[in-house]
Amino acid sequence: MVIDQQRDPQIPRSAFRAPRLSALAGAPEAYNYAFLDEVSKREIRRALLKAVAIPGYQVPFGAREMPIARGWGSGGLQVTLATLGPGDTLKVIDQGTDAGVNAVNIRRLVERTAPGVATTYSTAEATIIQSRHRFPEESLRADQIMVLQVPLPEPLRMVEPRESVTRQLHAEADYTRVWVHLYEDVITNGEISRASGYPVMVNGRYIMSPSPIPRWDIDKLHQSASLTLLGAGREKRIYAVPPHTNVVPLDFEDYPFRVEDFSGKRCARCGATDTYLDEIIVNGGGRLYACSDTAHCDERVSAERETRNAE
Amino acid sequence: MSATAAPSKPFEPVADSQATFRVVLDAMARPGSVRTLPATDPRCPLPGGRALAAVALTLLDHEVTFAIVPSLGEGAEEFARYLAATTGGRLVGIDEADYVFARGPLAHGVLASMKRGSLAFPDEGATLLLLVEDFETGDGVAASLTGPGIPDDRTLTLVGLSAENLAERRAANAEVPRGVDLLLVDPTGRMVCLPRTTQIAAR
Ligand SMILES: [Zn+2]
Repeated sequence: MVIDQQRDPQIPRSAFRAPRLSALAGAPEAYNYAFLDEVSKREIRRALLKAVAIPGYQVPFGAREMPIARGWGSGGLQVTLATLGPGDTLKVIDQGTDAGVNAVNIRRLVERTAPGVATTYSTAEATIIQSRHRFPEESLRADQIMVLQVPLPEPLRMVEPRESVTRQLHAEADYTRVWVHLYEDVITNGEISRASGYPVMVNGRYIMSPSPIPRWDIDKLHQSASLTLLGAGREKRIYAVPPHTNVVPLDFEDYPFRVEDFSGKRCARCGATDTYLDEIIVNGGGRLYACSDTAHCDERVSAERETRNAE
Repeated sequence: MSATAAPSKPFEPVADSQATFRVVLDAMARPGSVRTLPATDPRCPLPGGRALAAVALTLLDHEVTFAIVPSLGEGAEEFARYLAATTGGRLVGIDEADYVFARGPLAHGVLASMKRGSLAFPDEGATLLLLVEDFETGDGVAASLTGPGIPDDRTLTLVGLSAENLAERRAANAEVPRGVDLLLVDPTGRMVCLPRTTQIAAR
């Protein structure tokens, strides 16, 4: 993944300007708790419980207009808002960083409309983590909920444009065309070329799109200690992966699933060799690599600084 | 946080719904684990049903239907009127209801008559909210659970479901992904969820 200068590790956090809140949530004195009205929350909550009871199945719901554009996380945001409450601590990740404009907007909306909910950059402190492109590097715990915002929830769309047909294919677990598509991909590209949103089989029943996370993160869904909830605002779908559930990337025995290869590369900031790295084009055309999970990277950097200071 | 700690506190629609939902979500994600509901509704006319009522108020409104199984016993009719008036949910027959309220163990045929959804829309399968005897003192079936949300297997004494009920549940959930999802709630506010994916073996 190629990132622009915005992610240059030399730029401090203070360089990111927050947007005006008034552009987000309307008049601050007139809001429902966590922005959504209770009827909307109840519908989302009912859908979430059915989603958990049928892992990987896309439950339809009546998505609401949100103060952020659809496709920018409105589905995930609605799931988060229907779920959180006093005592929760929310972390929001956009492209792997908590400082991205979209993450700032979502966090601000929650801070303004949901009293009693704290926000954090720290994965360990969070009880709910909303993200689109990444899982945090560190493994989540049983008391944490991962919310993924999904722009394109239908994994069968690559082989079938009609919703009525994809629904029928899921109903019958008729995934032949997906397998043919993947086979053709292997013939053409030498491997399954899908870089993000890699299709997975959930609980041996449903093929599911895991949101645009890299292959690197797929294993974090498999037999996880934590619950994962997925929301798609534009296509009005909610789905879930319970903890301790099998999530298996689709592959062929002779062309096994592989994660991104970062061998020989390391993070220019913290030196990590075991994280998902973003490629950064620096001034002059050179290349650097840095952890995509900036919060994890920051923690490593400050831990190292403390060690150095202690010596 | 215990359901019995503040029995006279009225159910607060925004805060108590959110807190109750979170506990139900966690219980549904971890079938067979016993959780304690954080709220009650003291207005509930069903004896022992105040915590069950908190779940009902969290999930029901004018967009859904519910049914009352007669075996709910004393207070059942008042409970139906209370649910309709408080939530706006529409009272229908068992075979049409999104949410079915009953007392466990169930009479023969109740589980079989509940909505199971279609293959295309399995989420339209019903949710059974079962008022059961106290989880700690009630009679139960020693059971071993496996499935999503359960690391290896989980054992517990299932109160409120007879061996026949378990067989009927198995039949109702046989055509995957169609099925019914169960919430067992006791008078003290303890709750166990058994989604359709949970396999139950008597021990
Ligand atoms: Zn790093």
